[in-house]
Amino acid sequence: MRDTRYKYLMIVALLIAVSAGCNSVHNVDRAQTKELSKEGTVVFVRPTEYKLLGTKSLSDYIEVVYDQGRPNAAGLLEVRVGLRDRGGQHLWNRKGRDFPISAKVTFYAEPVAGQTHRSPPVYETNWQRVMLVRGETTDYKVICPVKEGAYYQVTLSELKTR
Amino acid sequence: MTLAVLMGALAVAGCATPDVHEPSRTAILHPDEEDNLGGTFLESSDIRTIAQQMTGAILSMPEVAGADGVTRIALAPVRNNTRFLIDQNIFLTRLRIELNRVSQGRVRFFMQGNAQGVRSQILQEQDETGWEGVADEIGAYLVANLPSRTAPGPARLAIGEIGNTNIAGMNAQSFLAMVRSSVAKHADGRAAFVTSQASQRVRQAMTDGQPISEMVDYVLTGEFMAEGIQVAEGEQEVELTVKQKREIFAPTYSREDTEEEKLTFKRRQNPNVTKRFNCQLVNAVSETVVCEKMVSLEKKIRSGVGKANYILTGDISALSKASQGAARSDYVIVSYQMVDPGTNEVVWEDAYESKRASRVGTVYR
Repeated sequence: MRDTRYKYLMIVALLIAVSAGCNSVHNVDRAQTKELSKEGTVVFVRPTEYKLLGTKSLSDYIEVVYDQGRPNAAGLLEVRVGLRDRGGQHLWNRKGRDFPISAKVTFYAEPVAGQTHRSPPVYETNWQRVMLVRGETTDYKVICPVKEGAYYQVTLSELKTR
Repeated sequence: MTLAVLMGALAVAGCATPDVHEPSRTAILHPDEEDNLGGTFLESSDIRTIAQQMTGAILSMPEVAGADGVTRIALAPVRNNTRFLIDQNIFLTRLRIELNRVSQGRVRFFMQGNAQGVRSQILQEQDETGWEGVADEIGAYLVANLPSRTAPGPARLAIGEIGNTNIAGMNAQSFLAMVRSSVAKHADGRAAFVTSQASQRVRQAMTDGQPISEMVDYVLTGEFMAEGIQVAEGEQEVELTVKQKREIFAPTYSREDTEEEKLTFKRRQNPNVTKRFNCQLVNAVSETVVCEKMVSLEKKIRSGVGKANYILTGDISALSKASQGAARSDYVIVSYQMVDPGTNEVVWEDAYESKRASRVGTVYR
């Protein structure tokens, strides 16, 4: 008797699971507000490759020396980020290397950093190649051509390749 | 038990992993993605980056940012000094797109090259549809200024010679017929035109120096004028060379076959100048002009670049290296300049640089 009840219960549970999978549309997860609020003005996209110990992420080799956004003489927001390639950071790779990364700046009319909600951007750049030379700080500069752009977020990523 | 396994399998199927395989042999790339075809010249991501960076720089120029109104920019082609046979217009096109997208009307460009045939047709048709109004304006003016008569009956009017009809290929008689119709409409019995045969006799008498006061009271005449110093000619022989280019591709080579054909034809010259018509009413007794009216018939079709505040131009230069095999390296610099057309001063310049090396030979188009 108990076995039969257990069997029916399992069938019902599986039916619910299947019916959810068979919906033609379903809601897409919303970004976690807590996670959003943790993001700063410069973020790095999670790498695509992982190793058992550590990652292969290029973010290990990069440090932000400065990060400023000020209106220029024309009243347009000018963002400057100092990106330093700090060379080898691992026992197995102490030398490091020169490498290109992709960078994109998204401009907003409302604050972004530390905020749980995000408004649509007023302007965003394309993914731009930034070459980092070992030991050197590269001044990555972007001007927002839209006057409404007052806040920004810089997203860095490994080079966008096929 | 079997049922549970079956349902479990269905449930797993419901949680299928996303299908990110390419739907065909063609890969869909983001324009900022680097492809795997090699090559050492600029990629699509570079062209987009150049446009983005130059847009910010141009809109930050004091001459543009501080301008009271719209800054008008004429484009001059980017000069390609590199070994790559590419469409160099792509650089200015992408930059123009970006500036138009974000400048919110602060900068304006002129359509140079494209759509000019249709534009010219529209302007010509607008002029033609305006002729009726122009003829009516002349008619109303002439009637209003027609001297009052003491003699009974309407004033007799003849159509005289029209001067300079050849300057613009204008059909003077057709236009004057419109004016005549308008005069008749506004005259309200104060004036009447003689027949075309009588007008012919009046013109002949005027040519022979005979008095015409017995035949008519007034002669309606006029003259076409062109606002230009270009001498108008009658028919002009024009030669046109038509080139037909055919590309032949094979797995390892490509070549071009070009066929040329020379066409010769005659066309009547119609100089692109503003054309006016000066209409006169001549007293047949005193042979003096009683009243006259000048109207604009055709406006010169302008490209608009005369209003440009700046010229945006640029060039692409490269330092290219090649070793044995297909190994190549190219340092490419794309520079843009904004030039003041009045002073010929370069008021702004910026550049984008790229260096790439590859062991794969790639053909750019």
